Amino acid sequence: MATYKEIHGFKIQNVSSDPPAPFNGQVWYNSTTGNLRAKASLQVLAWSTGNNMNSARNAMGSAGTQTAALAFGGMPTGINATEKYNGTNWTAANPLNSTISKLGSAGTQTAALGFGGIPTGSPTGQTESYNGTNWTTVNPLNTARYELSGCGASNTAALAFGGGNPYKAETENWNGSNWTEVTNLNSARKALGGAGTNTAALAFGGTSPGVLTELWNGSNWTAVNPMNTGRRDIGSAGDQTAALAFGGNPVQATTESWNGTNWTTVNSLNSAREEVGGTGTNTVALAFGGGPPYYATEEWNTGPSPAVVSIGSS
Amino acid sequence: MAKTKQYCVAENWGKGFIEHSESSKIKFAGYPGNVWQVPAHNKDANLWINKVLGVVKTLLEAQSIVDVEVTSFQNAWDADTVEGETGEQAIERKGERPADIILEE
Repeated sequence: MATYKEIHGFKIQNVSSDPPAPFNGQVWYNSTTGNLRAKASLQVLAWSTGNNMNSARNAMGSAGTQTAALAFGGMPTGINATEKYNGTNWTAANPLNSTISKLGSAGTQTAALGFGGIPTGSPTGQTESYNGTNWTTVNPLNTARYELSGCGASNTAALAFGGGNPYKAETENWNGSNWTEVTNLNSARKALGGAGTNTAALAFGGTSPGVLTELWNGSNWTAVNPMNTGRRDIGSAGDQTAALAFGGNPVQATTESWNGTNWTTVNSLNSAREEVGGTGTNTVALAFGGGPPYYATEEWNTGPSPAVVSIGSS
Repeated sequence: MAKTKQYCVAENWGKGFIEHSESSKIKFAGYPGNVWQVPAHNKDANLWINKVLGVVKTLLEAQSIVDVEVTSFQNAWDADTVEGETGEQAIERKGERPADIILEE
């Protein structure tokens, strides 16, 4: 194993005061305080509160990033409202053409897609496309359903999978004009989480049994390592190799991070909720709303820049 | 046995209410009715309660506030009906009835 000197070119220094501008990773002994000190990058990921939504809701569609997010539709019954988040505040935008909840979603704040869900009545396959200003009704899913999941880079390339009722395994690919049926999930389920693109997607959790994870390679789904905590109605963010799952039913605050191979339990949401909206990546994410209908927003980030810390007791 | 959790009521004003530096040190649990659970006998938790002007509540007081809020959610769920809709259809449309929440000591 390399020594400190071999790595940095000098031994750990014995000094009477902390160096004025230590580099990240530098270690020294402060003889005045009797501390072994280091400048360390503490990459702690945690949720902090963001400004509240204007309209409390759950089971909505969501798209975008932490600093440019879109929320649309949702419950309680009768929501067609759209809101945009700019990293600080939520602002009302033009509504969907239909009131809808428990829908699938994909895309960005300026090119989003909402599909499936349940209006008042039976599940639908209805699809709406957003251009940053207005929603337009486009061709519907082949299989009407609600509590499905979706992902995709834009309103011209998306994937819809799972849903109910009964539990569905159907997967459909959106090319900007039409939905095409492709290979089914291995495990039919609804209320599952989803992340990624229409050529590299991740499906996780859902009813039932709640922990299963599957990878989509553009052609087929493959079962991979399961989540640690079984749940449905999950908030999700990220992509196929770096995803985040948060909240869910039974109502919980549990957050798990996916590294492409395994799920790891990380710091929880500050408020437990289900059917929470989510966007972003597994290191910079946004959670908003959730049930019973809440306004609250939370932001998932790494900590501040590297800090000087003492090693051992002071 | 000494209590391990404490409760307060504080309105979440958004950004800055719970900061990264706080949530990475202590475990928060928010409940309906602006009830917040944080660790007891904890300096960082006490500092946060002071920052947000939280009103400290006993477990029973906090539970009572949460119960009122959850009952209100449940009443709204019960009142949201569509003529001819079956129980299963109702759950499809509006989700499951909000569950009771039991706070921990």
